[in-house]
Amino acid sequence: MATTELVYPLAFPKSVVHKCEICGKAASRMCSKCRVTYYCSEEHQAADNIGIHDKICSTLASLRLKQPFLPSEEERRERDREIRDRKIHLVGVTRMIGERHVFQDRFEAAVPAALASLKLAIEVHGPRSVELIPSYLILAEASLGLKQLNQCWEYLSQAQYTVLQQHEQAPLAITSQLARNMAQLSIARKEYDDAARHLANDIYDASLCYGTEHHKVAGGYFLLGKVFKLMNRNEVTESLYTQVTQMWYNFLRRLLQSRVVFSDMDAILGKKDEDDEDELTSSSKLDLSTEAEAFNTLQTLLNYRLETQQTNPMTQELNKIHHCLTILYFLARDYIQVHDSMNKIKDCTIQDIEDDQQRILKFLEQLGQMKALMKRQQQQN
Amino acid sequence: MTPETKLFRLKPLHENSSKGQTAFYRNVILPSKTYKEKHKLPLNQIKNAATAYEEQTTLQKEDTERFRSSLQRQLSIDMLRQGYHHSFREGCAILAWQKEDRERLGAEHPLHERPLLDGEPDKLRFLCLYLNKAEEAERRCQYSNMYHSYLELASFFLKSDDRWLSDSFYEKCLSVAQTYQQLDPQLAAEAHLNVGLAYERRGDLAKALHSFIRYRQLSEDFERLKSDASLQLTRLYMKLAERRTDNQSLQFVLKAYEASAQSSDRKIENETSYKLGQAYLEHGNVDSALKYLHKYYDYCEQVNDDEGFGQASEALAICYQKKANVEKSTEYLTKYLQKVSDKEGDIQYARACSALGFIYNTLSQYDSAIQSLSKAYSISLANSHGDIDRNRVLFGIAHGLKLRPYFNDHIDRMKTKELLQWKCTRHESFLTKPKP
Repeated sequence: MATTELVYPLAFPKSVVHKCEICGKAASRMCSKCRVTYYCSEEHQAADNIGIHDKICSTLASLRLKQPFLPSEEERRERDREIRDRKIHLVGVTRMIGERHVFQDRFEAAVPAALASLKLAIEVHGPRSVELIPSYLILAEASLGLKQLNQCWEYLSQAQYTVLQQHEQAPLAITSQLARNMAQLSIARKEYDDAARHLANDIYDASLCYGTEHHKVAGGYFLLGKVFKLMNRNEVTESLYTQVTQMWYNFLRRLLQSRVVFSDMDAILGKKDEDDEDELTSSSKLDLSTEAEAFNTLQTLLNYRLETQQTNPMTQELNKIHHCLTILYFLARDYIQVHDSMNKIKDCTIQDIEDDQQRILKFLEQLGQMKALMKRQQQQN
Repeated sequence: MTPETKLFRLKPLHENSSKGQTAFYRNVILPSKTYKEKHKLPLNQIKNAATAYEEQTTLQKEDTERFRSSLQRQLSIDMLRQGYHHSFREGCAILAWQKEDRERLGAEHPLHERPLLDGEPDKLRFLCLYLNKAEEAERRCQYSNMYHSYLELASFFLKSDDRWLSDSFYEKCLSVAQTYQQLDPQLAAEAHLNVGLAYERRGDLAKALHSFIRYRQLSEDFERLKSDASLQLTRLYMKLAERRTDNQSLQFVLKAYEASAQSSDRKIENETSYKLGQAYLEHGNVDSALKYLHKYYDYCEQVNDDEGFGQASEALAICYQKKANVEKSTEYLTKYLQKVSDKEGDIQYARACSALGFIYNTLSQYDSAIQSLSKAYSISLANSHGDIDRNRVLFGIAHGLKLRPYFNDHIDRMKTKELLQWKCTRHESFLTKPKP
C-alpha cells in the first residue's frame, strides 16, 4: 500500500510549488518512497498508486531527483541523453500499462497511467509533437469508458489538432488509431454513419501501414462489424466478424507455430533448463495490450456466435474461435484453461486445428516431464 | 495681392460652396460611386446570385476529407463505409500485385510505360463498383449474380487490354462456379471455357486443352454447349497439331476429328475429316487417308461445295496415284473438271488441272497433259497465284517429255545438225514432223 508523508505547501521555499500528480492542484502529501511525487488528497494518491505509481515509483525517483552538478560539459550532455532515453523508455512502459488497463475495463486505473506517460512525453518531445497522441488516445479511451463523452471529445480533438498541425503526413499507425478512437466516440454518441466513416479511414490507414491481413487491422473490422450490427445490417456484421476471426486465427496460429517450433528444436538439442524455457516464452510472447485486445475481441465474437447459433449455426466458425482462445490461454501459460477450451471444440473438420492441438498436447507433456525432472533433482540436492 | 492669387483662393471656396463637397469627394469618392452605379448588375441578377450562394451546400467533414485524399483512398473509404471489406482487400491486393509485377519486369519493358491502375480513374471506379456488386451478391447468397459480376469485370478488362486482370477474374469466376454447387452447371462449363480461352491467349495450350476437356465433360447435358465445346476442342486440337510435326500431330488431328464428330456442325466435321485424311497421307497411311477423304468427298458432293469437292478430288487423286491406281485418279479429276467446267479461272480448278496434268504425264499421255497444264498455267498466270511456278515447271516438263522420244530418235540417228538447227528455233513441229 502507498506510503504517505504529509507535506505543507507553505513550508517550501517561495518559488517551489509542488502540484498534485493527478489534478495539478497544490499538493499536501507526498509519496514517502520516492519523495518526488505529490498529491492533493488521499484519493488521488490511491488512484495513482493503483494505476501506475507502484510500478514506476523507483524509476521516477531517479529521474526527478535533483541531479548533482557535473563539472564537464561532456558529462552533462551524456547524462542528459541518458535521462532522455530512460524517459522515452518509461513513456512506452506507462502507455503499455495504460492500454492494458483500458482493455481490462479498469478505466480509472488507466487515467493515471496515461497522464504519467503524457507528462513524460511532453518533457521529452515538447507540447506539440505527434508523439503525444498515443497518450491522448489512451486518455480518450479511458474517459469514454467512464462515460465522460465530452472529456473524451476534448482529448480526441487535441489529438486531431496535433495531427493537422504537422507539416508532413502523420504516421499512419497514429492516424489509424486516432480514427478508431473517434469511431468509438461516435458509437457512444450513437452517430453510426460518422462511426463508419472514421472506421473506414482507420482500416485504410492501418492497411497501408501494416498490410491488409495484419491483426492490427482486425480491430477496425471488429468495430465496423459492431456498427453494422447496431444499424441492424446483420449480414454485413456476419461477414466482418468472420473476417476478424480469420485474421486472429491466422495470427495466433503463426505465433503458436513459431513458439512450438522453437521448443521442438530445443528438445532436439537437449536443452532442458528451466531458464531457457523462460527465455523462449518471453521471446514469442504477446505484448500485454495485444493479448488483452485479442481476449476481448474473441470473447465478444464467441458471444455473438453463441447468440446467433439458433438461427445460423456455424460450427466451424465457433471451433475457430475456441481454438484461438486455446492458443491464447496456452501462450498466457494458463494450462488448465487450455484443456477446458480444447474440449469445447466439437466435430471439427479443419485439419490445421487438430494438428495444432496435437502440438500443444505434446508440448504440455514435455513440460510436465521437465517439471517432474526438476523436482526430482531438487529433492536429490 | 495680384488678381491671380485672389483667383486661386477664391476658386476652391467657390466650388465648395456651390456643391457643398470637398475636392477629395469629387476626385476619389464620386468617381468610384458613379462607377458602381454604372456597372451595377440588374436587380434580378443580383437576386439570382444571392440565391445561388444560399443554395450552396455547406461542406461537411467528409466532403473536405474527400477533397484532400487521393482517388484510391476515396474509393476505398466509400467501400469500407458500406462494409465491403472483401472488395477493399481485393482491390488493395490487385494494386499491390500490379506494382510488384511492374518492378519485376523492370523499366525497359514496354508495359512499364502504361499507367498503373490507380492512375486510371475509370478503370478503378469500374473495378470497385463490380467488386462491390459481387460482394453484395455473396452476402445475399445470390451466387449467380456474383459470378456475373466477376464475368463483367473480366470482359471489361479484356476489352481494355489488361490481360493479367481479366485472366485472374476468369479464374475467379471458375472458382465461384466450382465452390457453389447449387449454381447452374452451364455456368461452370462456361467458366471452364473462359479459363481455357485465357490460357490459349497466353499461349499455354496444354492447360487450355485441359480446361476445354473439362468444359466438354460438363456440357454433356446441354445440346448447344456440347456442340460448342466440341468445336472449341476441334479448333484447339488442330492448333496443337499444327505445332507438332511428329507422330503426335497425327494423334491430335485424330482427336480433333473425334471431337468434331460430337458437334452438330457437319461442315466442320467433314472439313476435319479432310484434314485428317491429309495428315494420314503425310504420314504415309494411304488407306486410312482414303477412308476420310472419301467421307469429305461424299459430303461435298452432297452439299454442292465445289471448292471442297475440288480439294477432295485432288487429294483422292494423289492417294490413288500413290497406290498406283491411275484410272481412279483420272476418274476423280475428270469428274471434278466436268462438274465445274463452268467455273474456269478458279484456283481450285487450276490445281485440279495441274494435278490431272501431272497424272497424264506419268501416264505418258503428253498431249492431254499439255492441254490441262496449259489451262492450269494460264489460270494461275491470270490470278498471279502462288502456284504459278509449279505450273510453269510442270508445263515445261510435259513439253519436254513429249519431245523426248523424237529427240532420242534424232540422237540415235546421229542427226546432230538438225538438233542444233532446232535449238535455234525450238519449234515443236521441227522435231515432230516426219522427216523424209
